Amino acid sequence: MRSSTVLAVAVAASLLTVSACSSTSTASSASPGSSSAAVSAGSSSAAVSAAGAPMSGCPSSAAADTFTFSSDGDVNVQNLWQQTLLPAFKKACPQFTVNFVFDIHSANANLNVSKIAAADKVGQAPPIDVADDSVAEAAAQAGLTQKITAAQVPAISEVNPAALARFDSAALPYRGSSVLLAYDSTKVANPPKTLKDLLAWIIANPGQFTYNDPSSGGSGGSFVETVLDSYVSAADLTKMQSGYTPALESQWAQGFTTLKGLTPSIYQKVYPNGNQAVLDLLGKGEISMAPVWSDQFLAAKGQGQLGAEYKVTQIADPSFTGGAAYLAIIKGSKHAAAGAAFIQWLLQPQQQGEIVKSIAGFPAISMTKLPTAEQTAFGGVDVQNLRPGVSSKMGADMQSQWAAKVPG
Amino acid sequence: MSVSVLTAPAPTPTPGPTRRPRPVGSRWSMLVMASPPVLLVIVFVGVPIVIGIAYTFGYTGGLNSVATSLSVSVHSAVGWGPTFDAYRSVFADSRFRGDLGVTLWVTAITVAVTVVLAWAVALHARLTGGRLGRVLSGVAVIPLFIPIVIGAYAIRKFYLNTGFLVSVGKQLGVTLPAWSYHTSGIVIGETWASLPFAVLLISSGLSAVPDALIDAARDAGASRARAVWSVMLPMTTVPTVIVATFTGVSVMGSFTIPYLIGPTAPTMLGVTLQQTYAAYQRPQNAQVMAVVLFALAAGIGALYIWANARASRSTAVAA
Repeated sequence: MRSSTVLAVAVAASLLTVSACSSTSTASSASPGSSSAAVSAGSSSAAVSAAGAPMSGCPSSAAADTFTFSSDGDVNVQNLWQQTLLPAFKKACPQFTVNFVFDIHSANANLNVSKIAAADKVGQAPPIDVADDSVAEAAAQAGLTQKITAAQVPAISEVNPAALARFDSAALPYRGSSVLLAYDSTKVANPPKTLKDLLAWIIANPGQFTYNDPSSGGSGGSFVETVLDSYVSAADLTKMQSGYTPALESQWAQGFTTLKGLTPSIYQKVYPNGNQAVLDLLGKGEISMAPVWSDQFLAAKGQGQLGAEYKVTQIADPSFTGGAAYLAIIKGSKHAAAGAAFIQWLLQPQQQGEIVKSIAGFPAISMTKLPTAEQTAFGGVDVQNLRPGVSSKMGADMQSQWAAKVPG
Repeated sequence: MSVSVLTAPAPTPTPGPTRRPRPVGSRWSMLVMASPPVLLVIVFVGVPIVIGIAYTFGYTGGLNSVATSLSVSVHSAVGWGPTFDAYRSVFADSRFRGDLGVTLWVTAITVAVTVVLAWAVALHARLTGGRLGRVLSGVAVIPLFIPIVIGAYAIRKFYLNTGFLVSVGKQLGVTLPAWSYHTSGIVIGETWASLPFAVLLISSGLSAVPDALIDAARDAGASRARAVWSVMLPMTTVPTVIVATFTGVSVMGSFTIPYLIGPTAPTMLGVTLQQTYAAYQRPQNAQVMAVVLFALAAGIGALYIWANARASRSTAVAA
């Protein structure tokens, strides 16, 4: 059969072309000079700034430069950068050009950290100069970022010291969010106030609760972690938050037993993939309570995906975890001054207020410093003292053990 | 999760009486012309595969050292000999064994259902050629133009507890099962995604069967079923095998459909592999799973080559 051979060859050839294209495109989008991913075109930016910067002036007098900025996460984060913050930065600081690279759902976070590690190993300039969120955290943990000083970023004194201490200034917090308990107030009159109450509620109301697979998103991860943490001593918990100590994992056993015991009461015994999938189930009325990210919940309400009957609360004893998203300047970057100016600009009250407004993110600086309209955005929810989660390697073990022990 | 596509060896040309010996120079120029794709395969596919497989056997230094430094646990070989510790730890994990079983089952059932459905649609269009046949084969091809993520999302919503199917059932007083977040949902999704290619290929295979042969069989007194069984089926074996093997390979390595529609556990290996790599930070274990999938896909590929070789032999005999 000649035709089938031709077909097979054609398929193989097209696969090769695709793989070759994708490898070149990643290379080019990661290289600092490429124009394809550039957000600001350079030539038009001067004219725009002459018309006046509406947000705040550029906090830096550093020389004109171009740097690569990578971010990752959900679409809300992508929109925050692409539609709001980066255009505003271009107006405020026309001398800087940002090559923006976005990694949807952090699917390539591991790969990007590997590229940074490889560049560091051979002494080359890293493919990314400033990193956000997953890449920033993993790189900071692996010692692949620069320590940021008050001389580089004066606003460092404004951020929450506890959040700053997590990476010892090797990454700076710039926004935060927390996991909260969302519920349908028409079905749940008295939402649980403590973890113990919540666990009792889940068993008393089979099929009305679920959380996402912890490997697919932080809201489910926070629920799992909170249950596990309730059996771990405070001193050991601190060790788990700051480093990798597999020996302490035996203390999770009781927590996993509790979680396994919940499985028959979970909605269809299913832990959906992704934070959004749980919000969908909540919005469709399939379940009436779930742990959700504060920012995603408020955004879903704002867009009408969740009606007015949906409310959130924080539980106690222990509370759900929350934390900051970090920005880091990668080790070996030749554009550190421009990166520092970018971070300094982001920590100004107006930009922080913009984060509150567009994605309902918690600000990294004190609420009282924000523009007045945003100061009351969270109605008294404490946005600064968030209970931190375990370190990323401890989290990896936790997710792996959860998958082996809890579902099914 | 790369899916390898194996090509059948080209049939060896039989020397004809008019064949003249080629000059040596042209042979070299042909080699040069053929080398870019070969080099591309070696550099972008061959070398990474070799490095990846070496990693599973504990060669964690060198080009693999970056992956090693960022992962939670790796099994390194001591000295020169390979270690099978990574394979041992993966196969000792009952979750992996369960997921492997689900992957094989889903693949087998999807292939069987896809081939049967595609045959039914193509045969109906070929034999009756009426409006229904045209509509059916048109509808079957639609999924080709819908991105898989969107299709999977729609399927998940359709079969939910509050989805269309269950709601209609409730109106009629019937309790229908909710197939979302269930292995059956994966099979539905995979079949939906595989059907267009299968229908196209089997239709073209069936349309290549000359009407004269079918008519001759009918004239000789064969029933319609007999004509299908003894004439059309043997002449469409190769497209059927292609459909079965390609569907098998693509279903086995699929990610989006089991990720969106399937249950939390046990699920298909594509999902487990991604989680092991990205969330559990164990690239070595993920590579071991990839090697297992690769071996299974290679087995299916061997079947495909065998079918092709058999077909070219039989056509040679027929000619």
